[in-house]
Amino acid sequence: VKHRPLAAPRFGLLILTAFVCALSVHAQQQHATFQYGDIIAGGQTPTGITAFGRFDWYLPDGMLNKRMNETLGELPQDVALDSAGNVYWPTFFTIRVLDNTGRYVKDFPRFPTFAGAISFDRAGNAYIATTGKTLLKTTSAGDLLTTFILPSEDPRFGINSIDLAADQCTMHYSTFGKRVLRYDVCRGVALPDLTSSLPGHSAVQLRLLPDGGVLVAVVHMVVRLNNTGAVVQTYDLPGEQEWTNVALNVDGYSFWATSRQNAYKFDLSTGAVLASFQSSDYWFRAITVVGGLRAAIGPPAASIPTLSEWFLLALALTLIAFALMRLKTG
Amino acid sequence: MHRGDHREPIPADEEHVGRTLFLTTLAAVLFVGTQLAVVPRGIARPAPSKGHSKILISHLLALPDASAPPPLAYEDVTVLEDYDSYTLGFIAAENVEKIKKRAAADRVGVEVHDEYDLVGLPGGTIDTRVGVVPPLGVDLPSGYPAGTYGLYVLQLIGPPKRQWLSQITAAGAVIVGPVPLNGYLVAMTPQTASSVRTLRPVQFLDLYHSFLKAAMVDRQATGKQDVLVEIAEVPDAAETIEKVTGILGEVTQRKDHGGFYLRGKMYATDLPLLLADRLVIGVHAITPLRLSDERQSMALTTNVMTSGSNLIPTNPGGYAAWLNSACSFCGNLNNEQFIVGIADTGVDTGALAHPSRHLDLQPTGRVRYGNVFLTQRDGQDICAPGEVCEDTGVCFDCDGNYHGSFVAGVVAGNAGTTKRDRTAPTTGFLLGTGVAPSAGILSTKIYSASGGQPTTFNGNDNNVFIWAADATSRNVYIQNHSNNQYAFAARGNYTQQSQEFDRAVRDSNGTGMELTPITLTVSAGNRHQDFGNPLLVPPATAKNVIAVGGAESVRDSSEWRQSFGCESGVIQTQADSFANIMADSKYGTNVQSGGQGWNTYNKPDLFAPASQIVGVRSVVIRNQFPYPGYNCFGYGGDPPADDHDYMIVTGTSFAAPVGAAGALLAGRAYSHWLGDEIPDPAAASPALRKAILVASARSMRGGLDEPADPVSPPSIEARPNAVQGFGRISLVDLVSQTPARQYVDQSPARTFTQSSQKWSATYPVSDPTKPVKIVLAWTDAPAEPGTGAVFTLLQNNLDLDVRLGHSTSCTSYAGNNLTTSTEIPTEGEQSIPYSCAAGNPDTKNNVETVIFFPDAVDVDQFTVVVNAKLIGASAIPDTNCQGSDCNEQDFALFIYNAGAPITLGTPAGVEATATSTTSVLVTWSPVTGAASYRISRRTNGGEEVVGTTTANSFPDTTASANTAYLYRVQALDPANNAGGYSSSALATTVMFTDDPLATQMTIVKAMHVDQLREAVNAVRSTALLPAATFTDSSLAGIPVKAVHIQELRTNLDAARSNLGFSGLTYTDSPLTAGTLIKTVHLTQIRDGLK
Repeated sequence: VKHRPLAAPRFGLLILTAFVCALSVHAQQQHATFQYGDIIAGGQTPTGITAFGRFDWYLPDGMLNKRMNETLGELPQDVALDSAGNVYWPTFFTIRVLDNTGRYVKDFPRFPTFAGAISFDRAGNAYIATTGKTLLKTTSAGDLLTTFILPSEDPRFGINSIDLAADQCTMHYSTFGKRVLRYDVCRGVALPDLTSSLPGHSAVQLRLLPDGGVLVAVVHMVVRLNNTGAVVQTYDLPGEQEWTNVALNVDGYSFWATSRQNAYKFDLSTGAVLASFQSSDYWFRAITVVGGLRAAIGPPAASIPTLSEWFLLALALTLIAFALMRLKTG
Repeated sequence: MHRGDHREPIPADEEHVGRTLFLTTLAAVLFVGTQLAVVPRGIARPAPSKGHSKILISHLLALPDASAPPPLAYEDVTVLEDYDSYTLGFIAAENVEKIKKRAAADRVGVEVHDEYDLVGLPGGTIDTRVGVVPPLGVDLPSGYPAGTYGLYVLQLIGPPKRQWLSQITAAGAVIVGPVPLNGYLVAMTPQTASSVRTLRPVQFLDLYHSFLKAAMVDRQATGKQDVLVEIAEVPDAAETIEKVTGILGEVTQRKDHGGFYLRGKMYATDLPLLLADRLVIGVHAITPLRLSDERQSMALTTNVMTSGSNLIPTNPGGYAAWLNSACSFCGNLNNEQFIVGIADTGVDTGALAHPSRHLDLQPTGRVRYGNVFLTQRDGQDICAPGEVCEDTGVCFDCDGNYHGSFVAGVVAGNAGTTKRDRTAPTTGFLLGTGVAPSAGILSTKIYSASGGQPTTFNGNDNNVFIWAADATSRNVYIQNHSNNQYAFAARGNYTQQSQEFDRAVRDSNGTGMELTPITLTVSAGNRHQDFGNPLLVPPATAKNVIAVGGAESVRDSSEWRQSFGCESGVIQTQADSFANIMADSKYGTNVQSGGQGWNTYNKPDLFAPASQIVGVRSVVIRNQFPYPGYNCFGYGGDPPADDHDYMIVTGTSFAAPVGAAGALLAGRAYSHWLGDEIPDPAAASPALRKAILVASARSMRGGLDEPADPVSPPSIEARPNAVQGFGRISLVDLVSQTPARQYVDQSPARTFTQSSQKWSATYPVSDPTKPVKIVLAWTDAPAEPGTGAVFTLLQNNLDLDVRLGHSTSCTSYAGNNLTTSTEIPTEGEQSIPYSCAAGNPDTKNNVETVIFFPDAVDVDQFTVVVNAKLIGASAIPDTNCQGSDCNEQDFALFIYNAGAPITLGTPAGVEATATSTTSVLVTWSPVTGAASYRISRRTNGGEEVVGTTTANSFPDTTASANTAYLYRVQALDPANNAGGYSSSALATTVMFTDDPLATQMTIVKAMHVDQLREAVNAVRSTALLPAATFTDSSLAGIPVKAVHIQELRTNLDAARSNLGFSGLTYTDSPLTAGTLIKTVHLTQIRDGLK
């Protein structure tokens, strides 16, 4: 793949600087709507009895922006955003849909999904993995389009994580085991595993990387596989024992991973921890980043600048004009 | 962001960064452009047309490994939108195939999306290529008054982009909510609508006509209906609110699920007026929920009927009557004695702010309070203002969560509110009916209101030993634990907590000093709390506990129809049959066979209804519960509508207490069986309670295994297995008085100390028309915990072996070898018969069952054998003993449909008769319960077994001539356990001439006396006496004299006396010289020799 050169680099640098300034100002403010880099995450209170579910919205630095919902006994199993910015929370019993202000919109129609994981295709259709072996394809409104029965590596276990590839056909998934399985949802046939020998305890969640590789949380660590399924990197931290979630960041060079109550932003290449934050009182069960890469959807469209961003952009343009004038006069 | 050289670039992201920068700038420009309503070049917005088809074009639709080159367009295609990696456009319908071919040649994919021109609404679908088509006779209104908000239906050209929505809202519209597909309900003024209509992404806009709105009410009803009217939240909604209020009368307002609602009552005739309002979104009838859990309890009774393939409850309101009828003492427990401990979040106290304890748990004394194993108050507790639930002196004991009170209600709710299903308020199922409605409750508080639990308490581990001891120290012998260890390392494994629970069952305080047993019931765990993984979580993996999984309860769809937040018929899928396992339940373990023959560790042990259970709502939280996440699946904790006495929840937490209450009733039934004048709540061991519950369970075979796949659930296979365990809990056989049943509880007299020992007993069948069910359970020594397979789970392995009848058939049954091929009607599986073989002994479970149908195998008795296959550990802690010498294992048996054990009698009427010089025929009368007989004979060389037979006679063909034998017979049961010896019978293998001697016909001869002399000496030999010497040792030519006969009498008497026989009676005794010797004199001696 050819790398597209940046156009007008000096101009771009200025614009970038302005935007970074804007975003930094922006990041310190409460957000009324989802902004790129915001983290949508939820989980369950750690208890041996019925847990409380938390559905939270964090700013990019990990500061809690808003608790969108909290429930007794209904716990987030996964989270994804559609192209309109709505957030979808499979909660085993249904899929809760909230808008980009974190306001409850609706539930999916209640066919017996027992939804455990969700992934959107580029057309806005949703793939919903049940906790059994059935994968459902629905419209964005939740109307059932078709169903697939996927192979599982152990007859007792169903699907616990899915992610659709950019080709819109190859569904990568895991079934509580050592394999990253694949299924062609266009043809309805099983494909060879990406790998059958994951390290760690078992696959809990996987996310596809733009290069065809996969990040997989395998409890004892997070592993990065290349597009042939080989382990090219592992991520772990002392004292952390339950890596269960991964979410690619907007920048594409980092990702968030969670272990119980802690969320860490890792540098994808070096494994260095770039940032971290803690949940209020729960163990993370689901995480995604607004604008974060999901292979099937591709890079996000640009967001609409806020007023502060407009201000800084105007400032930058003014500076450019001033500089040009000086060049011309000077 | 800064990108250092050291970083490994991701190709697609390289592109992305630059692209983001570029697009960000472009977006800004475009935004300005769109604000000025400038349509970008090359982008069209024609109205939808019937002759057109919407299509998506993308390389990614055709190339699985495509890396998203720029989307393409073709001249026949009118581009509507560029979605970065694909293009949305439209084309004349007749050109679709042509463009597909062209695209394929370019390796570009084309998808047709005609659904992008359809809008789905509650009242119908709008084809936006055609527009709104009103029903016949309906006139479409022209619009809303100027300056007022009204509802519109809007459809975008394709999948929404955020900036499009921003454009719409920027124009002044309020987006009420999305509708399929790519549509929205929007509230705005006509002026705004004019502006929105011109926006490029908007392809359709029309009024939200009343016939398209949600109108889920009974249009035929004549009376008033309880309804929710949903209204758009806009600045001038006051007029609508006033209007709706005028129609509904007294209303309550509610904001929930993102909407604004007015609740009140209306006539069906009011509906058009409501729907015609410009801001009314829809009208929904409310069928208030009031769902009883008499249904849950009813699942355990005979009040269960078949509906299609489902099992559902019947006879509403009849649980208490059923219980009293089946078992009078079960329905009237002494709540000071028969108590279930609840180790949970506390139990409703009727705290200071709420002095009236929940009616279902009254009278007040029924609930007692043990320790609170929390070290501090919990800031999240919910109590009255100013109070903290766990504040000592206020309500430290209370349940600010809900969980413990609910569990208590499942055990002992007594329907004290007298409320019933709202759909049948006088005849429906009663609310709040627990399994043992008169039982006592002991609350041991181990979780705070927020579910927190300190790891230590007063410096000690906060674990099962202090919790269980809290119960046993108060003479409570059952404790329920509806809690689980949700952690990856624990999933499916036998952990330290499993080990501790196993130990606590025998030794509740863990000291090993004074054993205080306790029955521990535990929940199997819920899938949704464990990332969807189905494997059981500790402590349910422990061997000695009673682990209970979640079956479905039953809810009528009518109860949920049209109720807010639930759609018609939704509920049945997870609450329509007691025979189904609910999708959220856990089962199965990681315990492997370890190379042993048995296949599965059957966990959970049992199932009970656990989905959408309605039960006691703690008074401390009622009216204040802040978590309105209620949904149709029973999670979320909201009450049935407006009913603050109850709440509806789902989870195996609410199956386990069914087991606890069942164990309590099992113990009460055992105490009754013992005939105690004073019922003894401690009489039954944990193993016996478990055996009773397992024997009483009903198979779930043929029901649906929802956890395996809730969408396409497979059928449940024959029990026992790792899916259904031993089946679903039933009280029917547990509380009934007939047929007879036998209990064999733990006893030092029946404790194995080494491998290969065995115990057995023979029982008569009580009722041949009913199945015989035998369950062996033992409280095993704890195993070593492991994070994966546990190969040595069983420390002591006992095997249940049941022998049928009188052993002529040689038929036996091995524990847990059940089949469906010879199914017992209404009971499920039956044991596989083995002919003179051991079957397939279970090597992994410490519960084994045998089930057979006596009529089918034509037996009236059977023998239960318990074999100590392996005694490798001490299951009974003894601080004074160490090493393998201390290995001990006791056990418990419950035998359903059996009379009192048969004690084998001794054979009577034993006779032994020499039939030749080398053969003796031994005969005796039959013995009740004997499967066979063992025959022994004694000579001067000692006693030996000469054979066994199932007949009542035995020919001993190994005898020697001229020998006296003493024969004895023992009866044997089918396990070859012998009864007592019969009396001895003497036989002498001397053949007598002229036998029998005919009175007054036979002449007494010398040879007759010689034969008697030989025979008497044979008897003397056997009696260990020396051979006698006789007068006239040779009788040849000598007449038989009195002295000859008298010597025979004297020597025989001496021998017989030594052998334990009584003396003989002789004619003419003593014989004096000159007495005529008669045949009778000889016959009497001959008789004494036999």
